[in-house]
Amino acid sequence: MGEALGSSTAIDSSNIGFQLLKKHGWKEGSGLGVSEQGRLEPVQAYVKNNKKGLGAEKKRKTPKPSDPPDSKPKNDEEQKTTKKTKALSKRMRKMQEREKQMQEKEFERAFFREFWPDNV
Amino acid sequence: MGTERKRKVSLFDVVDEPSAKIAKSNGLGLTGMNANSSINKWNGRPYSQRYYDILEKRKTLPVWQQKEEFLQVLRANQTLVLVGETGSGKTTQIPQFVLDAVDIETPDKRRKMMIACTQPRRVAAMSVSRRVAEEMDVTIGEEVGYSIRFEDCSSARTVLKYLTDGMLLREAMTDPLLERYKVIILDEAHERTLATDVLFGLLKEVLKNRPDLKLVVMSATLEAEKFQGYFNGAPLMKVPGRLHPVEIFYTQEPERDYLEAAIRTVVQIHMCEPPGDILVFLTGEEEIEDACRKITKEVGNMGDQVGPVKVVPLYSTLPPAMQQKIFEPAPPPVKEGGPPGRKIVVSTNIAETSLTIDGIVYVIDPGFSKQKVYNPRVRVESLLVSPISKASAHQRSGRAGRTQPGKCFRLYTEKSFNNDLQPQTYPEILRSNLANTVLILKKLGIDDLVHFDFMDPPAPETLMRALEVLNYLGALDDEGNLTKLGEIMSEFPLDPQMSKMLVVSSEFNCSNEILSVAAMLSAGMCLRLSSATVLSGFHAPVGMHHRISKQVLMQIVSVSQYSLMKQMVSPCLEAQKAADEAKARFGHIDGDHLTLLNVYHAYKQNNEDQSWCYENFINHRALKAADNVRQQLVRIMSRFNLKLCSTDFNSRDYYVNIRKAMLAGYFMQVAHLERTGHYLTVKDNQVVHLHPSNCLDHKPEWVIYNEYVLTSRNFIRTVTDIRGEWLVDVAPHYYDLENFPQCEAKRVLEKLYRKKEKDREESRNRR
Repeated sequence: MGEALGSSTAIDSSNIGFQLLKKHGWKEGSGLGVSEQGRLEPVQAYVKNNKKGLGAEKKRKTPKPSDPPDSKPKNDEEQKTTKKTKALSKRMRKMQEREKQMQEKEFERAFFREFWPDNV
Repeated sequence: MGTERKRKVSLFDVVDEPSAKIAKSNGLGLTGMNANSSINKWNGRPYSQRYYDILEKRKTLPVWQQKEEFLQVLRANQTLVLVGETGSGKTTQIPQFVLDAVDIETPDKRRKMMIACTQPRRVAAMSVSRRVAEEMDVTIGEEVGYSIRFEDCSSARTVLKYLTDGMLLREAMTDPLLERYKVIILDEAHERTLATDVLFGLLKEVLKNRPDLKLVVMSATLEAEKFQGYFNGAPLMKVPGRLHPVEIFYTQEPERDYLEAAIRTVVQIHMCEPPGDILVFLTGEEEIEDACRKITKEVGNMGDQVGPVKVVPLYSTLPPAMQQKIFEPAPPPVKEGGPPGRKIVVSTNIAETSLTIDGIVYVIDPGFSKQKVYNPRVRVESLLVSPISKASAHQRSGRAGRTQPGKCFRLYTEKSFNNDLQPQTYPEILRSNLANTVLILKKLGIDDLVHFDFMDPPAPETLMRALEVLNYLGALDDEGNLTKLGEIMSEFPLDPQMSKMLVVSSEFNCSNEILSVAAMLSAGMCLRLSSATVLSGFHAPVGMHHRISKQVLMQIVSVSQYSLMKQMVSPCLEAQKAADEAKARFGHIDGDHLTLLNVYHAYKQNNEDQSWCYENFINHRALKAADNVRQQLVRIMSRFNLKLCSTDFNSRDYYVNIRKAMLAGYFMQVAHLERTGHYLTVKDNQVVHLHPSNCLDHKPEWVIYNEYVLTSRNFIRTVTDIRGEWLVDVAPHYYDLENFPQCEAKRVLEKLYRKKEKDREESRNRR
């Protein structure tokens, strides 16, 4: 839903907070909680700045190639497949662009058929 | 005869159980009993007639059906989970049941132990406690009281206290085992506020150490089993709500514009559906006000064929008197026998669980709400419009079936409901900046933050960010231990940045002024242009609820409905004028914090006069609140022997010292003006813009800001001009260039460091 918020680089080990958490007994790659069962990634936030209804965002995605490829990763599983989707959407975008060009040509042809002096 | 009866009563007081029963059966006992119970055991006064009237009504609440069952379970267990829909009466009745059944006497005859009932919202704590005091026929603040941030309305006599969950957490800081309480009731647990979640983990520990303490967790249906599992299989009790069936409708296609769709649906219901009030869920103040206007207009256009409507907005920043309007009945038909009127409430999600409006038959749910989000990677906490959860959608639809069978119109497809909504809203602890929470946990002596028993542990990075901030502020040392400074900071019920600013303000010789700034900021007096026109804290002469945004104005103009325009434009222009006037009178060119200070000083100089406030476009209520906050903060300052002092007003350093002290707390919220003309936040390098509400007359090279607002553009709100040199002086540990991303600000700082070094050398040579 909308654009993802800011950069997505994790806090690295040079950060004092990172070091302090380690001093508190945290092990890299594990979660917090009694049995270290907590989530690993922060909850992602998305900025929605239009009034599009629920589910209407996705529809736009196909015709408009400028959209970010995965504007809606919903859970961790989907995020893992991000790379795959990226490659896939790149191909998709190319195809769409070609399609768009074809359409434009088609439109041009139709336009000329309509208004070419022969027709008049 | 009269005297004889009296004597008998006193006799019954001393007789034992069996004989009392016999006495009862011969009829005489009954009079005795009655006479006895006509005295309120809490204050020794006879009950009023009103008490009996309310009692009759109370007894019809669903929760009364299970009073005995509840008390039995309570007696047999240390912890229990009680599930009941809003309207079951649990919030008002359960604490009273507990009070009647539990022994709260202490060896000290003068003191009794207390029952605590937490609420996520201040308003709820206040209003519910008032109601319960009435039901118990006692004075609020005496036997029944409440305690919220900056306001304690309880006494030594208090036996039942409603308080915000945050306040209970604060009390634990001085009373780690919460020994003044016999039973603790966590109400609205399903809301999973930050403080409630921390209390969960804390109370689990406390219960182990205090076998005599009991805990009741109350929640609306959602997630009850999860609570049960977390509290080691505590028994679960269900109180049925009074819910009628609700028919749910989905749209065939996703809506292009949910606001437009919502308005259209309201109109359709009003035209075609039988009588019954409508509740529309929208996301925020501006959107709600906008929708209210449009609905009124649309229905107005239809003329006499349809009944009259009363459109009522509802959101938390609405003045209480306006909020009360939602309880007014629907308007009567225009003429006898004409189409009936309808009440239409347009609300944020406060009408979802915490507020019950009777008479609602139709609910319109676009599927969005404003939710707090925090991303530790960008360090920004903000309110963003996000899709709701399935649980929320369920809760919303339930609102339609309170008085009769109802209908819920979901403005999304059934497929969207299944695929786009997550089952539960993320608990607040996963969406919040935890700096303050970590400070409190540290003060509570919880050192193993990593293995703290969170019901839903936050991501490691969120905790890293909190530890980082506290370390930079000097509240934690490099080993993560609480410092002396941190201990004092934790005593302030404020953000750590603000607490730090207060604690060090005496060193900058301006604690009096910083106290005023802090009070103004925490009383919600940020200088904001609500709806792009009005400064909150300042009022518009026509009334705040008539605010109107520029975009709306443009729309109206383009529709060119002259009559409507005449109604709408004048309050807008008035509001604009008010904002400009107020700015002209109190604005300080160096920053909004200083403007706030000017306003506060002017208010005090004019003896807090209400009519003076009105004439100067100042919101008297907000100023009064700020003044109260300030008094509380002064008390904390003096508890720690922090000097109250001021720099001479005529000194050149007067404002400089204030700005430096603010920087000492807010050095992590600095933005730098780039040569390209826009601001970048320091270290995070996010592009931000000065919020249009600012009072500056120039674009300073460096600013501190109080708030980062995420909308289509990123704004920083409440900003003050500071000097680059001060950064190097006040917070060299943060502005240490080794840990600095490559950017313009870094190069400027490098220059400043070199200059500082040169100055130092020069002065050395001179010596």
